[in-house]
Amino acid sequence: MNVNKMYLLNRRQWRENYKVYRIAVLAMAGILSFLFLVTWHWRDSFAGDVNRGIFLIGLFAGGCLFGSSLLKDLSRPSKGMWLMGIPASAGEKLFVVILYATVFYLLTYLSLFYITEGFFSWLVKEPGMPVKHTDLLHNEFYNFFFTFINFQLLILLGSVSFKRGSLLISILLMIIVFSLSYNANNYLLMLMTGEKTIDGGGLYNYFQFRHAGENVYVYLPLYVQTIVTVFFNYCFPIVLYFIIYLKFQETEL
Amino acid sequence: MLQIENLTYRYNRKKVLFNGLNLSLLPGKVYGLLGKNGAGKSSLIKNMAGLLFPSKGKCLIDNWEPRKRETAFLEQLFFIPEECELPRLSVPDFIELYAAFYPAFNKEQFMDYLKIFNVSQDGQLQRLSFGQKKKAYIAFALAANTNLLIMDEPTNGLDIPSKLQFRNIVTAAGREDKITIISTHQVRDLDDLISSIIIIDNSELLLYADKEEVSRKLFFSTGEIANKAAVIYEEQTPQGNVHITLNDHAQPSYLDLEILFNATLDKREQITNIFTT
Repeated sequence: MNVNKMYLLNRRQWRENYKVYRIAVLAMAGILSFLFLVTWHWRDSFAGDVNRGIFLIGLFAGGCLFGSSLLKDLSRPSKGMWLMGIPASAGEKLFVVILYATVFYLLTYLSLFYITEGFFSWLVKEPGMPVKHTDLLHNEFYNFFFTFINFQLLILLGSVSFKRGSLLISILLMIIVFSLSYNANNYLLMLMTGEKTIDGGGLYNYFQFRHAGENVYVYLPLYVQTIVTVFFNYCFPIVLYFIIYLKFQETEL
Repeated sequence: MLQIENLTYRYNRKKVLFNGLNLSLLPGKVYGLLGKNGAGKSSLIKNMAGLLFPSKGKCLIDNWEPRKRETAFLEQLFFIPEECELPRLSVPDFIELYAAFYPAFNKEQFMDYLKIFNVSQDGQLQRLSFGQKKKAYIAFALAANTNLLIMDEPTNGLDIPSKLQFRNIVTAAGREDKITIISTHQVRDLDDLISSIIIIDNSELLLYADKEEVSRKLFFSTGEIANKAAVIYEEQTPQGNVHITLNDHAQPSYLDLEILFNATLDKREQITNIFTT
């Protein structure tokens, strides 16, 4: 990996797109403000920390749109040829794309979210009431960042795998795979345990069944949970990176 | 040097192109890759540029394998596709961002070529017409001074003065130690530009020869001909009948590329035999 090439690629990515990014930031600020306004207006109907929900909607919806735009040139041969012809290795090109899809987007979105939330809270602040800010570190909420990185990498994998409609196909496939594995997981557990009331759970984490009218949760041993967490948070993104790299390397136009 | 060894490319299971093609291209020459639409020209040059991968055999450019798209190889390759799209940048920004990727890029050359082509030196690339964009692309490609320059139908979309400018610029670029490949079906546009001819049809190599060799072996004449039996190919043109015969007496004649192209397609065995013996 050549640092100078990555600097040049980064400069190219920024200079060619900064006007679009500027508009996207304004649009996202508008959408966040609208969501804050709606939830504030109906604040008696919403229980809990709705701002976290807004945070996740913006993070994933904006993230997938942004992520899918980064390699959209591959869907048009004339643009794709230009991208492929830039004298830099596939690894350097991908590194910059992934940096934009994850770190750059996360930092921008976090700043935007807190600025918009702060501004909105200040605007609707009632006398004597403290201004509340979303605490993303509370209750290990930050684990969503790992999910987000995997999500973005899956979107990029879609960009290098499908020439047309890659974003829609990727999201559809993710929904299908997730639904299938979720239901298959429950079904498998029912077969293995003979317990017919298993009706929910988290993949590779826990399952839930009914007993005497109560929901009972059964968690995997802690060490298994740790292995699963390490795999999904650290190993899976590396595996995804290599798959994207190989697909990108093998792209023909 | 560009070396193609036993190259086979498959579009799909049924359609096979260039079943075991062998070709060696040397630096200092401008190769005209001629063929009808759909003959396989674009697939061949995309294999050379690493945009398509051979199913069998290999393509080597100065010992680089194009399909690996290594940085050092990409620094020595510039490919101009038929449909050009340039980034949303002004010309100065474009140079600033992309020139640094090409070690031998010459900014003055680029500006000179833009001037000759009448392309604004500070305008937005996105706002240029298709022809203007193509000229900017060609100017950048020539100024990049890469060892291998491949152009796919470069004169498509250029008006008549621009075609002349294009020929002048490529000639003036003086790529003596470099390989230039121009793929086209508009043979006349490049008549006096190319030094070697490669004719393909139905993904088959029919002719590969220097223009010099063609002139040495074939004689082109217009008008009536006494010995009709000696005529290899004859074509009616507004100027009269053009004939191709063997150049037994080493006479000089004007090599009409279009006539040669038609003759090669029409009398493929005869022409191929002349250049393989």
